[in-house]
Amino acid sequence: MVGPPPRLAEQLLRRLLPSGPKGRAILGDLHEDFARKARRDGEPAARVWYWRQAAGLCATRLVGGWRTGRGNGRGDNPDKEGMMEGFVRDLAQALRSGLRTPGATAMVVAVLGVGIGSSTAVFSALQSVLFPGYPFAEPDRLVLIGEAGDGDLGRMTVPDLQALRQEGGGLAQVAAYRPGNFNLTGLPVPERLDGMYATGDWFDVLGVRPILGSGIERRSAAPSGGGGIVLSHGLWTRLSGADPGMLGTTLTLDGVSLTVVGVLPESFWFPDRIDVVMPAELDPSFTEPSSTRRIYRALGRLAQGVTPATAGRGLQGILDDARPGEAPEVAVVRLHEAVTGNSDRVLILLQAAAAILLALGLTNAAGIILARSVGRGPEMQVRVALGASRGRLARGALAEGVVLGMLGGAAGLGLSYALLALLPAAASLGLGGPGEMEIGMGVLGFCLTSSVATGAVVSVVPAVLATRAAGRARRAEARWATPSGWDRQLQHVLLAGQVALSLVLAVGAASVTRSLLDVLSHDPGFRSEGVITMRLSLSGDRYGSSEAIAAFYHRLSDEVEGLEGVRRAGVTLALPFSGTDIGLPVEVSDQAGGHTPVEASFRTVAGGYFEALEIPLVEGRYAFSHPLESNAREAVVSEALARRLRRSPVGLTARLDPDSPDGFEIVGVVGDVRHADLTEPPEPVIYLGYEAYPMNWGYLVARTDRDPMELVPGIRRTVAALDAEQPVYGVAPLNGRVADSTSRQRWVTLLAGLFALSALLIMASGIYGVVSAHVARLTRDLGVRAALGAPTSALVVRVARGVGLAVVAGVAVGCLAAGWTMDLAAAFLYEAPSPDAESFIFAAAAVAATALAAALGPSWRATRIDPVRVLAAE
Amino acid sequence: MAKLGEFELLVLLALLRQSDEPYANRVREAIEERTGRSVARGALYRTLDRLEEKGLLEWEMEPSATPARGGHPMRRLLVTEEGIGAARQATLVFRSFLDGLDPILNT
Repeated sequence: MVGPPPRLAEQLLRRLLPSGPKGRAILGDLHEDFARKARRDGEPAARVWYWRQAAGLCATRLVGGWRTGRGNGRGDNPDKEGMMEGFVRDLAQALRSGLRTPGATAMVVAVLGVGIGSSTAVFSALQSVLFPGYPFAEPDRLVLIGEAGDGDLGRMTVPDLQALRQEGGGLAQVAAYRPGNFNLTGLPVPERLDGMYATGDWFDVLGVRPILGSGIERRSAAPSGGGGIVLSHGLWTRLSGADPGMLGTTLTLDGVSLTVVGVLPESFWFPDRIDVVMPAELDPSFTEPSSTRRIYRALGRLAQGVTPATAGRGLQGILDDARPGEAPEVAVVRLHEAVTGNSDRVLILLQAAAAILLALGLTNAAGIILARSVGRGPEMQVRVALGASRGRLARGALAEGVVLGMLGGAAGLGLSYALLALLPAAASLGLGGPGEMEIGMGVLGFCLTSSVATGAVVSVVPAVLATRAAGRARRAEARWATPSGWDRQLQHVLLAGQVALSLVLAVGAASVTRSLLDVLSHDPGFRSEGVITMRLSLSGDRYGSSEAIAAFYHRLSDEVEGLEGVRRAGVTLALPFSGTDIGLPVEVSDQAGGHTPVEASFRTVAGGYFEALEIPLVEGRYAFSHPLESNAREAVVSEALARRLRRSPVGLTARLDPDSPDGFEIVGVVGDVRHADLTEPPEPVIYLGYEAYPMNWGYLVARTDRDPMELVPGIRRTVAALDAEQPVYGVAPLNGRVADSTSRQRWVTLLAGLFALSALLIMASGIYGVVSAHVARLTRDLGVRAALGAPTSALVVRVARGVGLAVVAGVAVGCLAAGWTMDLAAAFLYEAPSPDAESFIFAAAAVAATALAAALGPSWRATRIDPVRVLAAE
Repeated sequence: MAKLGEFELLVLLALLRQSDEPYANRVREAIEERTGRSVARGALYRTLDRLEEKGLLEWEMEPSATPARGGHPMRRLLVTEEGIGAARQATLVFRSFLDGLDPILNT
């Protein structure tokens, strides 16, 4: 039994073949041969064969001028050609005409493709960031509520939140949540989970229904301990292989047994991918609220027709009533604004660059099509003389423009898919959340429409003008015409525009490259190669005291140092380039009673942390390498802190609490370390032993001469041997963390470089095309001049003068435009690179050199014109 | 009398030979078999259209005779009197060119 032919191919044929019985008979013929082929060579081969046949028929139908007659064969006249069919015929004619000049056609298609492809990709990326698909019901009604602050929305105290939850104030519902992390134990390998504490109505507010089971219970009154948790689709799949039987089983999180009551949909995220949602009633900071700790956020759903501003006034009234005179200022922000607020800055720059590239592509394509059309002026005039109507010629030109635009659009579509596939590092660009990057159909439509419209307009205008001139012009005059009119001026204006746009992109690329080089030239203050890092967060009753935690971390460091290949190992509370930092006020006092207050970053350390990172010792000695009692009384400070003191700090006493009689004796000074990124200047740091401060989490670092990732299995085994309940997570080589901190800039630089390169290529092709066309049309003129003894230089000047002027004008306008663009970028983007003279000079030189190189080839041809041959041709 | 191209003549002759099964697929097979060349489907249908335009060919629909056609109808192709006349004329011209060439062509 043979299956049917490929359905898509058949549908294609149905559309393209004549729609009457003739078309059906042709389909039948193909069907019949397909069946025979399938029996003889097998179905896969037959399907390939069918596709080839279909492609051949379609090509014949479109290009070969195969008639679309639908008669019944008995003496019918062929159908009268309708408007649409006539246009289809024009399209086929245009395609054939394009194939006759493959070089010029490929040039226009490539130029349009680069412009459309890159702008579609960047616009689409922007769209998926600005308009991510939210997995919530009516997401535009969702708002975040917090205390108004300088930048980010502040968190709130639980009593304030509860007041808002009870009253509402313009909101249909208010739920409370806060992010939390939990150690999942009781498995062969413990895991660290990202999660959320949330009140029972959180899912109702979001409008999300679990795909299995229920949401967390709504237990506003008298919670009875224990409780149910909701798992993410990912965690559920990872733990049970997506077994619905997992509902009702228990998991141990941070030592507490909890029942799985629901599973979230796969698409769920808020505000990022999370593993688990815990009832807020299990969070002591929710059930025993403090009136000063601000750790919860509120998520609200606006009542129908209420704006965030109105809701904000309502909520403010509620808090003012509850706490007259001391209520905080409430801010209400749409969820959408909160999610996208900080992520779009780089994309705005890229979007501007893509828009410039699209404009450049369109301008350039316009120039090439214009040159072609003008070159065909005599042909148009002959066709008018032979009786072609002006409408007919315009329709043909329109078809050509449309075909070129469509081909360019197809090339651009392919390119934009490739570019979006190359953007998986979008997350590191800060391009926002979990939204998938897809080609925005609206965006693609816009780019395609603009390309087709450009093609159409620049094709039709010269055709109409040529036919208007036809009444007056004689063919001989047309042949002798030299380019001197509006078309040449328009070409030069287009060219100057291309040079200016390219220069703007080149200046931008040069500036971001320079700022990246600046960043990379900074020394982080430690050696990141050969260091593996990973996180631990000790949970359980065993780690209730700082001594117990310190003992664990010292033992871990010792054991890891005993592993083969490990040179040094240690633990720190806040690792550079990890995003973790804690600041504290420190007061340093000398024995004479002088006090110097310093705002410093605070780290606890155990084991050979300084040696493992190769942070140099500047003065005194390292500390905390061994589990000594003195660790609880000693401190090491960074050079930056020492500089603030304006004297050697060794021997002085540092206090975190000025009222405390006990302080830490400063025993050493170590080199400065850049902590957040490579650009931020190093801050004063005070290092204490884990013995001095009860902090249960830390980063283990280990230096090796091998590939640091090779150490990971051994270290995991070591941790498991010490305490099998403690998960190891966030494993990454330290140089990877440092590189990640610049990945955003590297991506921007790469993209800006690609844009600038594309711009230069497009501009070069434009100049090459215009100069070539110019030389071709000046051939007779140049030949006559050469025959009359004009020197070579005079010929080159005649050819290149107009183009040279256009380039000079373009560079001048481009410099002004680049300066203005950079100022504009700096005005509303805090991370915009500052323009510098070197970038301008470099970019202008690159653009001018490219323009010169592109003009050189065809100009050289002009000097090789043989006057004898030119005159003989007449 | 309409003028015929070489391929048009081949199609007409093949059709006249296929009086039992005058269908496009059979015509294509007959030409391929006798010339040893593959015939592009598009070229055949375009030629059939042209012959029809010149009034040398007519056709009528028949319901599908075999399930292999997927229910699609068949087009029975008929050479008109003018078609037969044009084929005869073309053949005569062809023959007149062959006259006296037997010793060279060894026919």
